[in-house]
Amino acid sequence: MSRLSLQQARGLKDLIQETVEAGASAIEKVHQDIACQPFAVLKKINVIAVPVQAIETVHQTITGGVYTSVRTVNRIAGVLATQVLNRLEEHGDTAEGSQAGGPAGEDPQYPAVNAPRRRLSE
Amino acid sequence: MWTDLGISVLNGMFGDYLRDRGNGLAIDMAFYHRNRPLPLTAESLYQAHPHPTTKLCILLHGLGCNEGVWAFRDAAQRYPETSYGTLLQKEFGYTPFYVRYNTGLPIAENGKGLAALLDELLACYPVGIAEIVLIGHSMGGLVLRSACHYGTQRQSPWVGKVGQAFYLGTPHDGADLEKLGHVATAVLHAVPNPITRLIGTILNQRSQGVKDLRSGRLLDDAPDTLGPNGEPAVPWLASAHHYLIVGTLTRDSQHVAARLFGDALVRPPQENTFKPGVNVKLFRRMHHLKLAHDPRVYRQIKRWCGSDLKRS
Repeated sequence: MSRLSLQQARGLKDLIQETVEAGASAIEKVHQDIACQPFAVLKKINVIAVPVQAIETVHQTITGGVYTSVRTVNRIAGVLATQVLNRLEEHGDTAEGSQAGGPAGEDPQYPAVNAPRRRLSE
Repeated sequence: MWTDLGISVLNGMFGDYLRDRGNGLAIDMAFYHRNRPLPLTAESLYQAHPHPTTKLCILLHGLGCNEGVWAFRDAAQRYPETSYGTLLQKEFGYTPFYVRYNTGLPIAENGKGLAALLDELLACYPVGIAEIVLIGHSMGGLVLRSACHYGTQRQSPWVGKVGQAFYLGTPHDGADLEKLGHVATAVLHAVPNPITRLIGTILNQRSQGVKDLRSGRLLDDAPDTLGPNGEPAVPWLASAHHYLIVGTLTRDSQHVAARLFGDALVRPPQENTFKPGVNVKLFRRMHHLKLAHDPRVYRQIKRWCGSDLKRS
């Protein structure tokens, strides 16, 4: 059965978190760039320039809030995942301390280079 | 197996980013045995190869793969029990060593890493080494050439032992798909539209290893595969015999699809990029990945190995 080491699980968690963070920021920028185009045109009409400006501000605040929420939830999820992984690592250390030999299913003949301390079943 | 393959694919796509961020998914270059890194100590080598021979076979996989790519598919086994390495061991006595590495790193960096790794292997190998055969699939062939260059520069003892080098579907002239990716990225960035620019930025996140395939870049300081007079920027290792094995998707090698797409990823190389006397064998109806685990390809490798043994 394929297995993922804790080190790799942390790496995967970091990669997903960084992708969501960067993705949300990039999409937010595109969203704002596209949204500002009709507002820019409408603001050239003097009679409606003031209300358009107000609507644009509201729009920017709402969209900015949505993307900030996405990033915040992403960070909270990252912290929670890190805590779960820390727990698993502590549990693994305890288990390994009380039980001699390598992790179950691994060939003790070939110890890993930079061996991860514990593996998770997929 | 699928986890390892997934991690290898991620390394191929973003390996330099993973390494720079210290991400746990980044692969460190090492010899692998039974899906585990093989520590370079005499004891581990004895455990992995209880009957070491004086001849070594080093196998290097291509972009986004790992040593599992060498396994013959009909074997349906987890580890590469039947591969060019094991067959060469059985028939010619070559002890096989499978390298796993981060294919997203620059080819030159992997070349330097491989040169150093082979130095370490020679230092702890339990018996004297008479000959080394190198087999590289796709990007692996470029890493081999880069390693030979850097190994020659640092006067590594293993370089003089290399008798044969086999390049299977190696893009010595550059890979067209990456050339297309490069042009697509430039066009998408040039279009004054935030969405196309975003797509261009996402495309541009591909690893340096992938970008190096555009021109088959082997060295840090030589951006192109060809020199000013059309000669290879990196000379082929003079002391070794070089063998190129290429595939085409079609039955007719002169078919327009064969000339445009080659084995789906790599076209047959131009003649001016390899030295006179380099042997080339083209296999029809052979796609890129199949070159790494096909009985017909092995028979050709065996034939060339056999003819070289007779010569020597």
